[in-house]
Amino acid sequence: MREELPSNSPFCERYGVACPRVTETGWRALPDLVEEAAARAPRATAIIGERETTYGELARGVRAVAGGLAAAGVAPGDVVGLASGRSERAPALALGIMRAGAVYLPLDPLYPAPLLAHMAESASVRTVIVDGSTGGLPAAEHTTVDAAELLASPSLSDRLPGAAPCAAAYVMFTSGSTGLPKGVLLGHAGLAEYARALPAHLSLGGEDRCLGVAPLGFSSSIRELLLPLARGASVVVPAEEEVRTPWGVADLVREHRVTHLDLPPSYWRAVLDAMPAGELGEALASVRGVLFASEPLDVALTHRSRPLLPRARLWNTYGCTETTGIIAAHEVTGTEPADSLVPIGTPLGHVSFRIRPGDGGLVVSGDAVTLGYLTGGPPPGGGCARRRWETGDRVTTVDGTMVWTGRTDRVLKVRGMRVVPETVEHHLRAYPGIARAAVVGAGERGVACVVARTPASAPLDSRALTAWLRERLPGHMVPTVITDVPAWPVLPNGKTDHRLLIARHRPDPGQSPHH
Amino acid sequence: MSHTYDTAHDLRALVRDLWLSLLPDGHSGTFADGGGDSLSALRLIGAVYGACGVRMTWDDLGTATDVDDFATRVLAAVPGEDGR
Repeated sequence: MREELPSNSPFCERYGVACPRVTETGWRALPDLVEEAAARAPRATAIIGERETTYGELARGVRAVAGGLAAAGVAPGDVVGLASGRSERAPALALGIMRAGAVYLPLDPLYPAPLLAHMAESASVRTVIVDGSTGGLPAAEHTTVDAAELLASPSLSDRLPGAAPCAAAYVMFTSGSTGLPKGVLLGHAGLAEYARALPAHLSLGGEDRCLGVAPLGFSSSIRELLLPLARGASVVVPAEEEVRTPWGVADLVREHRVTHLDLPPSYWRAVLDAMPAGELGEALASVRGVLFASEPLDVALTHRSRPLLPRARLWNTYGCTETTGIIAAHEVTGTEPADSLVPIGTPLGHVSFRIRPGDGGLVVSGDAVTLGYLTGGPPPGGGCARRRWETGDRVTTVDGTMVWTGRTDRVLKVRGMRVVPETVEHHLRAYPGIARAAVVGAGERGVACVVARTPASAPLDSRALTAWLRERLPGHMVPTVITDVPAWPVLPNGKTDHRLLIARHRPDPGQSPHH
Repeated sequence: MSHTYDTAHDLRALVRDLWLSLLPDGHSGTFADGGGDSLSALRLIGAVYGACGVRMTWDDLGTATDVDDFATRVLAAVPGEDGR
């Protein structure tokens, strides 16, 4: 049974496109899936942070937030910012925003103030929920709502219409090529499909406890904090201090009997380097699944992991912000060739893949593909149309599974987070005295750049330059190596000879002081 | 022939070596001034734990005025050392 109704989706109205609301028997948005899990087991533990939250409390919190936002005048389609770090309240706040039909936008207080201001302005944020500090977010352009007061609001969810599949569920900012990050809109239909596909692939159930370390402003936080809740599993939310010490995660796993870890390989490698193997192996005895995400996984790391996690299944996964998250997975078998990357596997089933002939570019289609960028206009056919996304990744198929072979563009990753070189170069060139700038590579520590100064300019003060960049870029994009060169190589057409610069100055990609 | 080690000096040198291995520009100023990020902090705190067996915190590292101040804090946390 499928019923099509005239649209009142703010997304469609905003872009002036035909976008029918599709109501399908059985359609459930992510907040609905969580409420269903709560109805099945209201006393089960949903979230473990500074205190434990049951599913019943979580569901009440979600409805309270939705009701409180509606009472505050938030309308479906409005973008609501959440100024908060990772916390046990974040899932209820994010889901409550979505339950109100609004669009969730994390505003991580750890981001530089100008970046937060840009995010809030370009998303036309009029309401910001504040849980703790707002960081440097300017207060002038929006009203603020206190998170604790919102969670204590009367629930008004019966009057709320719920989310339409075509509507946007959340927006995440990712590196843009113009110097400023772009807001990526993700839809409810794709998020709900993702919430069914990934936890099912991992066989998550009500007895499982999941822990991840992604900051709230990073799209992996959607997967780590919200998706297990659609299956009735528990989410363990580490404090910032626990994520920043190598024993923090191990202690949490031991204390709460965590069953599933969700980590970027670079983070896991740092923990392995720091912790005595015996102590770590003992702490992780309850783990039965590790999901590696956000950056390429090398086979050597899986070989180091296996003796510590003899009972655990290990997955390498692949996905992008623009695909709502993970769309392919490969379970590590232990037979992968040494000195290689672990395959990214096969599609999870909620998306379709096509490998473009010629360059091997990976093209993804399905509801999980982004609705579009905040500044980029509407996707062809509106938010309900079948969409496709050219990932920029090159893959090849080996024995029926995909292997990542590189990029079709210059995008890099640092500790799982995307770096668009043009963004870094834009800000470097804007610094007084710098005429040319090029990103030449990225290692685990960060980005390496080469710059050339304007004639007669004074030598660069690297500290001042770094401080200046920190005010404009997220931490992972601030260069860790800046080399000032006297002569800038150019091609016959006058453009920068990136190949030569990279050959001369590229960092060792696996560079780590402990290897 | 015997040799008496100055453990305080050795630990201080060890911490300095670890710090500078992660932050080549970190000869003066705070960890953040030297370009330290969360992964570098994880690695440094982990390396100190591996070498000295003490669990320093992000706060210990983030509020240290420079490498010597952090080394002093590490020494103060090591049983049997007084940090001087």
